[in-house]
Amino acid sequence: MHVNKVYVKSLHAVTPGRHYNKSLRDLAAEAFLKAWEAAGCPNIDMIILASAAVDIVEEQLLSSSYVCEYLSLENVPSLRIEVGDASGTAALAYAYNLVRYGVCRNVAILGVEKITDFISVKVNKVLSYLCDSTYESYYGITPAVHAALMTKFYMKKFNYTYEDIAWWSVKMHERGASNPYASLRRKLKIEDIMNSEIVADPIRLFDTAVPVDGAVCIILSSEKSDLGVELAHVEQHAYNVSINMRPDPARLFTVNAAREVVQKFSPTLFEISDKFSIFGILILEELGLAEPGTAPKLIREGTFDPGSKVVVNASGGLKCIGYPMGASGLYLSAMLILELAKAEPFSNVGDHSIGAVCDVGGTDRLSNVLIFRRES
Amino acid sequence: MPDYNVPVPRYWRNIPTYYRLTVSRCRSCGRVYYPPRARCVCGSRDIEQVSLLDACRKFRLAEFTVLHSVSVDFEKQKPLIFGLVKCENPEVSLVSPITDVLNVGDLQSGIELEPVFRVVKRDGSYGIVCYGTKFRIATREVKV
Amino acid sequence: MRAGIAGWGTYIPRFRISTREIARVWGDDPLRIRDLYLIDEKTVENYDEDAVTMAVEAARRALARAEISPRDVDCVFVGTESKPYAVKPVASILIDALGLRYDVQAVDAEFACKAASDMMLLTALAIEAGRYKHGLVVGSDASQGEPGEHLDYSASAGAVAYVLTGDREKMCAEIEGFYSYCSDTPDFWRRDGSPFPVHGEGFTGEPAYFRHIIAAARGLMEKLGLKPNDFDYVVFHQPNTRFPLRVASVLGFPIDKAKPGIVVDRIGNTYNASALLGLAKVLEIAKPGSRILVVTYGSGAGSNAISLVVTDKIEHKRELADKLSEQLEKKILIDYSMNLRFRKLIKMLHSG
Repeated sequence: MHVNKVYVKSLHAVTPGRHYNKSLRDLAAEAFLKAWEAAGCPNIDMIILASAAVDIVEEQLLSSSYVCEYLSLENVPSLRIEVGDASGTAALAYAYNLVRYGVCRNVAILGVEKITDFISVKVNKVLSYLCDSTYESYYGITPAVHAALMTKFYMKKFNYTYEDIAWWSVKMHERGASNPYASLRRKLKIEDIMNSEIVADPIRLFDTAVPVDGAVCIILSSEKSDLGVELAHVEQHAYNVSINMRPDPARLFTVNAAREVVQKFSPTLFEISDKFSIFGILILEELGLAEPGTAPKLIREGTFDPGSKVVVNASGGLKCIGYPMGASGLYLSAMLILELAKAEPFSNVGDHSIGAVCDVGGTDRLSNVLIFRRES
Repeated sequence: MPDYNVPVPRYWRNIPTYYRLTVSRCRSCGRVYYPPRARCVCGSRDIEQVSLLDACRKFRLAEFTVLHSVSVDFEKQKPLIFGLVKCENPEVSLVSPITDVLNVGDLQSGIELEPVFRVVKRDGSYGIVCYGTKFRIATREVKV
Repeated sequence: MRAGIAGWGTYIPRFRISTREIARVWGDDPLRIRDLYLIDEKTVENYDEDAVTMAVEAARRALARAEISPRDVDCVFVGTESKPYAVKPVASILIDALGLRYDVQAVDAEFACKAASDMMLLTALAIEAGRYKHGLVVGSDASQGEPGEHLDYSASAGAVAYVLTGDREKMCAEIEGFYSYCSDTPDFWRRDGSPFPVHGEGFTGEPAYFRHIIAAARGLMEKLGLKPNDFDYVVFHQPNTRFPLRVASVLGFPIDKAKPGIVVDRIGNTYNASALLGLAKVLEIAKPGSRILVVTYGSGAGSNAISLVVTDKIEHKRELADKLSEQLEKKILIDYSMNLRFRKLIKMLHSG
């Protein structure tokens, strides 16, 4: 069976943040139009909207169609993909297959989130929907509760202190301080992390990724582009099991399942979801980039800093980009593509030809690993 | 109609789990699930609902966290404490709210807990009172 | 056939406030306050507790002591004057929380602090008539007291539950007889929609509390041909510690027979649970053959006097659930501001 290679035609990421003056449609339009124009305004066969909470925040169903109307794409079919905070990479994976198997030539994947229309306690309620609504959110459980328990179990298992975990955030902010796509562009000292407000102990504010508005558009195509980056492989794994039913709460089983593929492609550049620091740490270990129990030490020592053999989160990760929920994975992907293309501001990252994005939906309920390759 | 938010049929359907902590047990292989399931991993669909309050005599706290950044329904109850609560027989764990704690130092891993019937949230001034099962430090150690 | 108690269960919130702390906030002399009420501490319901949650907990303990399946209960009656709903029963919540059958009689009753004891007597009558095998009765209140007012020092929260039975094998105390005495005496009331009750201060004493309790107690003793000497323990409704001790003395009971049943000094006035918690405390120490007089009182006003005789099953029952004596010890003292927060007395834009 003939399969197409799948290329990144173009992309545009709106810097995430509190875009009080822009609607979801404004943000979506900005991301799409800039990406589309950069690609030379090709015919778009399908728009895939990736958003975790657009229906809840905007009180809008059929949102992809209304976004298309705003763009005067009157006859372009669209759909929305929602698998929580992994919506973006799930949409990429879906689009990958549409292009690969010739169903579409050009697909625009549009990740959007407009969460700052809500006050923080309402944002927390929306986030709590990532947990089991009937059995967890009902009682007030949020993803931070899961992450806090995971962190505590991990610390106990490998005899780490909270400070060891907090270093993740220091290292991310080192990288993200110069990233124009970061919503939090500030270097932070370990004291800043350790003195930030407690979210769910031991997790503090800077161990989380702050929910922000965002819009990012990636156009996948069967035709090559000047970017010279190919989406070479997508890998999706699931472990549809609640945290209390897991054999080990301090593991990311879905990420571990992608280990072989990562070994096969040997990427040297990674963008991984560190929505909580513990996720960043565990992803490194589950993917085999660090031995179990060594990631906090290695990250602190600078093993994965820009310029190293293997570079992780040169963008500053979600710690700096922020957490545009369903669009998060698309931001990570956009960063990785720019890094592979050695585009600004990532010229210092080093020369890498293969990179991987690892995105996790909810508390390890599903994960998407995407392998990108720079055309040699 | 006065304003109320909690969809009542949904609450009503869940009364057995909220009031009596029902879990699913596979009659075929004995596996226990919380949240409940319609089908066991062993393939069996012969699932019974068992109340942990009836079945389990001993609950222990495995780990816990204090949540300060709460969602809107719990603004007046912060901070909330959640624990990974282990039930020995049947063997199952739950993430559950821990109540009646003023000093977090009173909680340690391994401490014995007892289930208590409590208000989870009150739906504004006009809606229903939502009850559920929480845990607290046991009044006395249960001899099993 | 006579009805009796198969099991009892108590529940008091862990949180307590001292009357000294309340006096500090209101500028009262703590020693004078203590002397007035003889109350050291009172319970404060946690933010997530109410008359329903405490009723469930007390009932679970009563069922454990009764050693019967919840499926064998034929009626569930609740006496309360602090329902979280103006309309919607507590009793029906108990059915699902306890796993009772659905073909049961279930209702809430209100007669200030007296209704739970009325429901006990009606249940006993139905059992004696052979209509019920086992009945569950709960008295539960998270009572309201206006801050700074007399009731602020005493109105508290607690619940007590009794499983009644006609089965001698299960009975730890037999109901020997009862006598009721009621009249229209407006000593304490709460109008519909009003957050706090009001009362007639001294008028709650002689024409109300004392008149009804004394008449009921004397009526019962006369009916049964018993004298104060025939009783080993006496338990009265306890709005404070002074009233029950004084009424005991008026009725000719030595203070030592009244003291074991006093709970108000450590937990405050638990309204529908008050005298019946006192009875539970006595059941935790009484010996087989002990005769107990319980006289409840509800404002508005009326009393039920009940005579019980403890059976030889009593020792076995005690350890089947945690005891009031343990619950009294397991406490966390809070200050006045936490008390206001827990009792939702801080004015807020929105609750939740």
